[in-house]
Amino acid sequence: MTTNTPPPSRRSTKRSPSLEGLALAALLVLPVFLYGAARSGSEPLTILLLVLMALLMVGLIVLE
Amino acid sequence: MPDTTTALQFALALSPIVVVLVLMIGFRWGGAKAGPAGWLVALAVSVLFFGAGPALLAYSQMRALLLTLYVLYIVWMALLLYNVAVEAGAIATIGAGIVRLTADRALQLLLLAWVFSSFLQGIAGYGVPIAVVAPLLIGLGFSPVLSVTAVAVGHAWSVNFGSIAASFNALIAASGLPGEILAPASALLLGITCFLCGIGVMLLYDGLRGLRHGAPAILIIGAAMAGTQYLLAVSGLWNIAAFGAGAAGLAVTALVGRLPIYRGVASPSAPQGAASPTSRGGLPLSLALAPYAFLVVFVTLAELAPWAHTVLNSIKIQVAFPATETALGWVNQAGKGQAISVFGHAGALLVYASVSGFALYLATGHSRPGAAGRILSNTARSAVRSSIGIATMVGFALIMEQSGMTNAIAVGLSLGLAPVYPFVAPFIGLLGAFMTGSNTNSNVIFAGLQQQTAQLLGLSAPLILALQTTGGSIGGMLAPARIIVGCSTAGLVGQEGQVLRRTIVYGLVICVVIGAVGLLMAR
Repeated sequence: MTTNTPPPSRRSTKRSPSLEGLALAALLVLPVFLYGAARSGSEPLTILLLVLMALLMVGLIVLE
Repeated sequence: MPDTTTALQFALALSPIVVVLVLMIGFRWGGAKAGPAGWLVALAVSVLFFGAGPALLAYSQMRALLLTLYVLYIVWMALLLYNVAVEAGAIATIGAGIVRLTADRALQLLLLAWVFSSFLQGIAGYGVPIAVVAPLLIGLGFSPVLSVTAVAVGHAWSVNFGSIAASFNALIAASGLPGEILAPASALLLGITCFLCGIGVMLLYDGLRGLRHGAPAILIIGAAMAGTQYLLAVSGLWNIAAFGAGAAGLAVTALVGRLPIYRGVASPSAPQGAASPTSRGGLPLSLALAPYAFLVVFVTLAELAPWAHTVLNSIKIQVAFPATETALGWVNQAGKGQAISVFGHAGALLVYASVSGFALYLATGHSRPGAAGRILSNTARSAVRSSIGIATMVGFALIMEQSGMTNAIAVGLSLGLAPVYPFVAPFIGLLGAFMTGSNTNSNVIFAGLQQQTAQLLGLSAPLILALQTTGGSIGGMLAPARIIVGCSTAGLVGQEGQVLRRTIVYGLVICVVIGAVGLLMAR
């Protein structure tokens, strides 16, 4: 019999919560810097930030 | 027939989607892992084959961020509302209330996954029905995968006229045709979809046996919902067509529950260990429903009271973007990205409902010490992972859209399958919703293309546009970003592939039926 439904169970993950929080923060912050770099017309900086974002994506896959 | 270049571009443009689908369905990757893979493939293809430059890609990611924040505002706050309800024992009480309304498991599932979720779609936006209703079903003892899948399939028909007809209004704006011209065919096709969604929920529950058992309810409730939506839409009241349809459905379901077939009869294959929920601490049903009632009141006020709408939407976050162009000549016009109304957004309305509900529980002695801390920490813990999946999925969808890849897929489909274009049209709508998780965005992206193709092929533009928006509505059920939203509140984070594997079958089959109806209507 179910009484107060507990929060549904969550699958364990190899990524720690703090690492996931950090990754999410980076995902939400990097586009702002990308926008700023593109707006300033600095192509090398824009490319560098895009590479950083690509590395973040690789990290998200590898660290799973 | 499309030339070789178009065919090659079509295949290349499709590759990120194929990669994500294969990883999620074939390899059971979660959205937080498949999303980054799709992002990398989309980036590589857009740079190497579609001529996307650094500035275009940078702006695409800022546009994606705005869309992501728009979605996450709802996801996080829907989780907050859910945790407020869980903490007070409201979910268990609501479950007990539904069991009292009907002991029939099939009707319980139909009531919540098909009718109540459609009612919520009528008043709230992106992902709210799935995020709110799936936990209620789990509380009733339905499996998490069935709960998310059934809601995703069940409410899809109400998306076009839902959220105060946001998608339909986008169709009107993008096509330039009056709503009176577009409404009849759209309401008819979505009415058919309504029945198909009800059938889908019962098939998900217990196959053909479940369908036989639920058929009378589907016919009666479906006629009430589809009929109400049609009448409201063709009367010019499309802004409240889904809301009215959901309300009619709820009223009729209460009557259907009194039919002998659904009264006190255990329906086939009630899950083992199914909940017979009771409330803890004697929380009355009226109090348990209070946060959801608050949500309905706030949403109705925000959308239907002009003064409230004006006040709440007075502060918006919006970013201006310059025009961009790929090396292949695909142009993105200058304009503003997704606007986020800080106090009028669906997420903000969820906050008001959560805070009001929590205050009510506090005032009536149904809140335990430390409740606020537990609510906040549970919300944050379960939201982070799904947020990563959503952010990366939206990121790669925007790379594809801004670099012309999404358009290449649509053009490939329309050129390659011109003789059966009415059959193809809903699949283009579905593609747009699959990519962005939004019927509104699908209409904005593809309405022009659909309209032009209809005119070139001598087909009825209102019919083709109706097929576009119907496909867009259906597409929500198999959009990874939307599924991640549902899984986030159902404890299925990282297991989105299990849900996608089921919804993709139902979504495609329903789309095939709608395409076939479109072919018949075009003749």
